[in-house]
Amino acid sequence: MTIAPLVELRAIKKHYVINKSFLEKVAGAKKQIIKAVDGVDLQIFNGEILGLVGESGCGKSTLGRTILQLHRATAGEIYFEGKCINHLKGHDLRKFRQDAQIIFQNPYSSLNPRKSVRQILSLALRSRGLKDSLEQEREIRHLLSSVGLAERQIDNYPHQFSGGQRQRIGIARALAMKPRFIVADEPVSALDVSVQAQIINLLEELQQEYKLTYLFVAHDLSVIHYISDRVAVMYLGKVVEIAKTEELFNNPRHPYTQALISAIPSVDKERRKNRIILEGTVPTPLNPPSGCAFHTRCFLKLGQICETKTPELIYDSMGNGVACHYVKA
Amino acid sequence: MLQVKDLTMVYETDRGKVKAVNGVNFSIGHGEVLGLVGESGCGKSATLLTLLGLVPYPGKITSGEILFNGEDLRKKSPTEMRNIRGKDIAMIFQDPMTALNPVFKVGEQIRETLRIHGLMQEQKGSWWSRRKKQNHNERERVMELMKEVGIPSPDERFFEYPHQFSGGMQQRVVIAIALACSAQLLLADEPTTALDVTIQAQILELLNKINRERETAIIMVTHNLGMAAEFCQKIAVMYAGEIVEQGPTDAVLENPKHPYTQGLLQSIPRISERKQRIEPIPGSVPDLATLDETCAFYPRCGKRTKACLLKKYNLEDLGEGHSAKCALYS
Amino acid sequence: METHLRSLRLFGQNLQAFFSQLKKHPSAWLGGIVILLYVAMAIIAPLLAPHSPIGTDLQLRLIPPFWQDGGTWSHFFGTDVLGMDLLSRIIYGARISLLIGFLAVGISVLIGVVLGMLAGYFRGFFDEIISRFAELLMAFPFLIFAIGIMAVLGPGFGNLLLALTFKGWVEFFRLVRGEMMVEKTKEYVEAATALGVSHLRIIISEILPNVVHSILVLGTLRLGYMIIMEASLSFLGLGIQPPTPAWGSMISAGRDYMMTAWWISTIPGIALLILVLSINLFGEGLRDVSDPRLKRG
Ligand SMILES: Nc1ncnc2c1ncn2[C@@H]1O[C@H](COP(=O)(O)OP(=O)(O)OP(=O)(O)O)[C@@H](O)[C@H]1O
Ligand SMILES: Nc1ncnc2c1ncn2[C@@H]1O[C@H](COP(=O)(O)OP(=O)(O)OP(=O)(O)O)[C@@H](O)[C@H]1O
Ligand SMILES: [Mg+2]
Ligand SMILES: [Mg+2]
Repeated sequence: MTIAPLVELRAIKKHYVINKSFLEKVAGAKKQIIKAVDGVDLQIFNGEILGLVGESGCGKSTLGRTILQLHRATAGEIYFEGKCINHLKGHDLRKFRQDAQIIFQNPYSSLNPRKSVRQILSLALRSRGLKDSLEQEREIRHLLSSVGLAERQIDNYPHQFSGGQRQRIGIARALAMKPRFIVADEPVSALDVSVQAQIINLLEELQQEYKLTYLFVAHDLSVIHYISDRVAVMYLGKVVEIAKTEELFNNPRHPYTQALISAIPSVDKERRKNRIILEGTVPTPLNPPSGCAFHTRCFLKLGQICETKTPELIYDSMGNGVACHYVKA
Repeated sequence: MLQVKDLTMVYETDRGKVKAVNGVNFSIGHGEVLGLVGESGCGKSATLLTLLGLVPYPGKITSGEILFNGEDLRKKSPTEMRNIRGKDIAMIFQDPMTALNPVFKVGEQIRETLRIHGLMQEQKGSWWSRRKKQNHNERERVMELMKEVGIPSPDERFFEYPHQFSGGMQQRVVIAIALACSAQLLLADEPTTALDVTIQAQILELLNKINRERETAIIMVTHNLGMAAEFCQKIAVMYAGEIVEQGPTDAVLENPKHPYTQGLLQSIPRISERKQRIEPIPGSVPDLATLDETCAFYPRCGKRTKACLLKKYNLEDLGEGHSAKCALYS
Repeated sequence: METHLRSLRLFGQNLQAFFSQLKKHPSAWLGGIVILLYVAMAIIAPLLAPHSPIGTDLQLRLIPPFWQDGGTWSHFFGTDVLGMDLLSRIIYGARISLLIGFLAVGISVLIGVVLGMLAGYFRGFFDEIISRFAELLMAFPFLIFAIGIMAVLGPGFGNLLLALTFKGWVEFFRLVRGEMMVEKTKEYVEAATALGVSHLRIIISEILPNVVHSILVLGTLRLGYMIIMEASLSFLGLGIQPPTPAWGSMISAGRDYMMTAWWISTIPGIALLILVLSINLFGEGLRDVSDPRLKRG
């Protein structure tokens, strides 16, 4: 592809060191390392919605936060519009943060319970450099109406809103920065089905209106299918497959993706096919299996090579990538 | 086997009466699987707990009958109920940790169930040899159960504590406890919501197997319509403490009658060849403390008319076991 | 200006809601009222006290309270060995107790909160050092520690404050550090970071308002404790020295006369008891109101 990506990750790693207590350190305990994200290459193009799926603890949130510089990457480089942003500080970092924002999963802990909607949004506007209080007022009202909240609720506190409404406030806060790229970290997972649909539609409308680019994290595959242009599947800190949405759902290549997609419970009769039930449980990132991390549960395992050699993500001519020895063979 | 008639349970709170279960009627036969679907706070868990006689404070059952094999559970004494719970009716919770005791070994907890309900055969011989045989038999039986629910290497796992198990494995232990007493009815309250997708599939498969092989009836609470569709023969849709529509799965999902069910089905994204736009239901679930007698869905309904506010409507039979509670069908 | 007014109004609303909740706790109300009375008494002590708190008159020694034989109305609670009027000394004694109590708690809060917020937010080496030091201090019983300091430094108002706060901040430090660590993981803090808000601002204007309640509750409960500590040190002769009126030293002065003149020790003791009890009742009411998990029903 010749179009330059908006965001590009090169071999991003994020390892957490688990601090031992003082006594354990004296006793000589070794540091434990959680490899939450362990070598991810990814390109996100302007105006697209890239879905990110994977099981709990596979590093989806960590990846999103690392891109936004909420955590510093342990290794690798992140480019935003071709500029490396790994080591931005001060003014440059603040400037980047106007371009890239985040929406959180939990509509309860993501809003400060002691701040009114007005205070929450004006904090964002001030960070953008909008200091004049009249202009702020106008902008806040505009934001509220664009996320579908009533203007008279401007002085209400978060606990006076329902989960869906809180999520709208969180979205308004992100929009207040006029970003171009948004990491949406499971924005609908905590919501009721009927409200979930409202938020998905809102996010889609905003994307078109403001020409946004999303990294959309979810574990509900139907939501991912609905909203994404492309989908990346993560397993234990690595991207194992990335493809156009239709391609991924109709023709999954990685055995893990195949299992995931076959496991989607569907209301439609014709979609209920043979189910691939994976054996075993998800390994921990504290002690990931050697070679291909999926080999302990894989039903297509080739043998020795899967246990010793980590498969690389290999792209075909269509830009769809898969990391599997079997598929390559 | 189980028939619930006009069951009502009310939480008496500071803010007023919360009718968490409001005139609920349904029945389930041997080997049937009933799905109880609905959004958060509509009283699904409350219904299950009420069936078991475990009404949480400050709740009270104000009316209704719970007929289990012809006997009304509401008339049973606490001791009789305790016997029925676990032995005839078992419950599986969303969070398996709440059902397991963190300080006892997993194997012991399954064995405990066998003991309490006296499910092992009495052995003959001196006290000592009887104890030994009994112990041995019990352990064998526990291992068998653990194997049946798919816990690998049960002889080691027997001696581990719940926190050493992953969420999916813990859920299997809870299921093993339910199997231990060969309950006729399994109440599963969102048994897979806390689990990962691939693990969800494993647990559903296990429940399916139990239902097929043992003819255990299952009431499964879920807010995932897809899961209900695949797993249940009958579906009851709840909204604000009431069952608004029920019937055979295919009838309810392919030909939904109640506007709420229709709305729900339109608001879930479907995976299909061409992208169907989702249509959310406007507004959000009402506060149960502030409801009056008329239709609770009225403020969000796209098909509301003046008739809706006139009176309270009942579940109206629409043929083939399919019924809905709406002014449109009265 | 307008925003200030609005926040003032909201603050007023909060306060109103707070007091209406507190109404459900009659004991807390009672405690609050008694505390206010004590404070008022301390402030207008010169107007209330019938005699000088330090004026001795050996001819008026050991007069019993008015209701006993030989008591007079002019010496309401009687007099002590040196003929000083007990009522006046108790009224003035409230000044010392409350002043020391509020100052000791205030300084402890200041030190503990600042260190706790920094340590809990930034963690790392700084946190490690302060936490170890705090743990070290925790290992000593408060009273023995304070006695040690006073013995080294000698008695006096400033030294007393030092002795009380030297260890007093630790509790606040641990509370705030813990709460900080909890709040810091909440997503609203991350959201503020993502907006480019500076760390200092996040700590002060985002997180602090969420922990103020706990600090207030602990502060109230510690106030009673500090007042007791001051009295204990004065009782042992290490705190405020006679003739300056302090309840602790008054109790101590009457010890030898318990058999013949019980009132010298007992009445200041009761004054102390009522104040500390009220503070604790109020503090517990506060805790119930601010922590809904502990609410009954
Ligand atoms: N601050 C942290 N310190 C240490 N370990 C962490 C931290 N944050 C995350 N982890 C660990 O990193 C791994 C990846 O976590 P992450 O939150 O990115 O997962 P996720 O894919 O978002 O999962 P979920 O679907 O549950 O949100 C997990 O094992 C988690 O325990
Ligand atoms: N102890 C209680 N006191 C008062 N009201 C309660 C109590 N427990 C639950 N409720 C209310 O009863 C209603 C039904 O609750 P229930 O837990 O049955 O919902 P649910 O359908 O299981 O929801 P979820 O999907 O979130 O588990 C809710 O509106 C809830 O607010
Ligand atoms: Mg996450
Ligand atoms: Mg529930």
